[in-house]
Amino acid sequence: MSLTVLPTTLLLLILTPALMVRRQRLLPDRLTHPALRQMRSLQLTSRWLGLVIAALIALAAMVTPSRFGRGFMMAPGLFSYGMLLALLGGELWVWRCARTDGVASLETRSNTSYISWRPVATLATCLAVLAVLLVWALGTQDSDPSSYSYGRAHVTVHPDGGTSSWGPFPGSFYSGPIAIMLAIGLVMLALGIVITLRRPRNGADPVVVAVDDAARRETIEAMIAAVTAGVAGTLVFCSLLSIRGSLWWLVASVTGVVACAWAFSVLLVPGRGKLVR
Amino acid sequence: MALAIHIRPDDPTPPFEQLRSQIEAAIATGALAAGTRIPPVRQLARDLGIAPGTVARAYKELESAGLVATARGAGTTVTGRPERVTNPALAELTAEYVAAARRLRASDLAISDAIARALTL
Repeated sequence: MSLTVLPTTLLLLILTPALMVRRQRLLPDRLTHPALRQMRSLQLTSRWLGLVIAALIALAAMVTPSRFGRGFMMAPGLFSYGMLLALLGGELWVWRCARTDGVASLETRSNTSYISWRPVATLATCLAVLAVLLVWALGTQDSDPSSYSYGRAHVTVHPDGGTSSWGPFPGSFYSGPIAIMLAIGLVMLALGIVITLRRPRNGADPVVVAVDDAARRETIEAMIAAVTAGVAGTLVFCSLLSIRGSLWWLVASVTGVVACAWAFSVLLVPGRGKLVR
Repeated sequence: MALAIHIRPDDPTPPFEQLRSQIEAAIATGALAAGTRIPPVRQLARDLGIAPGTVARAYKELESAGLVATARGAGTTVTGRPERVTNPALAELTAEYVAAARRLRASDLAISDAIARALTL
C-alpha cells in the first residue's frame, strides 16, 4: 500500500493547483450593486466555512477509533455532507439578496442552463467506476480470518488447493455503509440543486440577471463537486486498500485522484463557469 | 430582456389586478407574442414577493379572457391578443404616442414597458 500512496498523493498535489489556476474568480469589488455584493460575500463565506468544517469532520472520522477503519472509509462521504450543507446554508442565507420587492420579469428560467454537463459527467464516471469496483469486491469477498468479519478480506484459491487471504478489502463490510452514505449524498445534492434553482430574483434588472446566473451556476457546480469529492475520495481509498498490481485498480485510483483534483479546484476557487444554453 | 412587472404596495388596485392588467397590456401591444411562455405561478410569486394565490388568480382571469392557456407539463403560454371595441380617440392618441416613441428609437418592448409602468402609477 505504501508504494501507491506516495504517487497518488503527489498526483493529487500537482493536479489540484494546476486546475485551480485555470479558473477565474468573480471578485466582490467588481460588483456595484450593494445587494449583489452582499450575496457574493455571504456565499463565499459559507463556502470557506464549509470547507473548514467539512475537513474537520472528515479528519475526526479518520482519527476516531472505529470498527476496523470504517470511519476512515466514510471520511470522504462525510466531507461531502459537510460541504453540501454549507453550500445549502449559503443559498438560504442569501435567499432574498437578488430580489426586489414588487419587481420581477416574465422570464422563464431553464433549469438545465445552470447545470453544466462536465461536472455531471465527472460525478457519473466516478460513481460508475466505484460501483464496478464494489460489485466486483462483493463477488470475491470473504471473512477476515483475524476477526471473522464477513466482507473484509479477499481470498485467493491456489492451484494446489490452498488458500490465502488479505485485507482490509472493500467488501460488504465497508461497501454497505458506503452505498447508503452515497445514496443519501445524492438525495442531498438533488435537494440542494432544487433550492438553488428556486431562489427568487429581480429578472428585470440585467445586472442582477448576469450576476445571479453566474452565482447559481457556481453554486450548483460546487455542490456537484462536493459529492464528487466524496465519491472520488471513497474510490481512491478503496483502490489504495485493494491495489495488488492490476491495471483495473490502477485505473480506478487514477480516476479517483483526477476527479478529486477537479472537485477540490472547484471548491477552492469559485470561478465563473460557463453558461449552458 | 423579458418584460418587467411592477407591483406597487401603495396602489389601491389589488396586486392580482395590477399583474393581470400589465400582462394584458403587454399582450395587447404585442410585447408578449402568441406562443410566449410566461413563468410558473410559484416562480413569479417568489420573484415578486407576493402570495402564489395572487399570481394564480391573475393567471386564471387571463385564461378566462382567452389571453393565456395553461397546460399541465407545458406551463402557461400566451394565446393571442384581446379583441376589444376600440375607442377611436384612444386609438388615435395611442398611434401618436407610438409614433413619437419610435422617433426616439424606442423598441416595441420598451414602449409597452413604459405603458405598463404608467398603468401602475
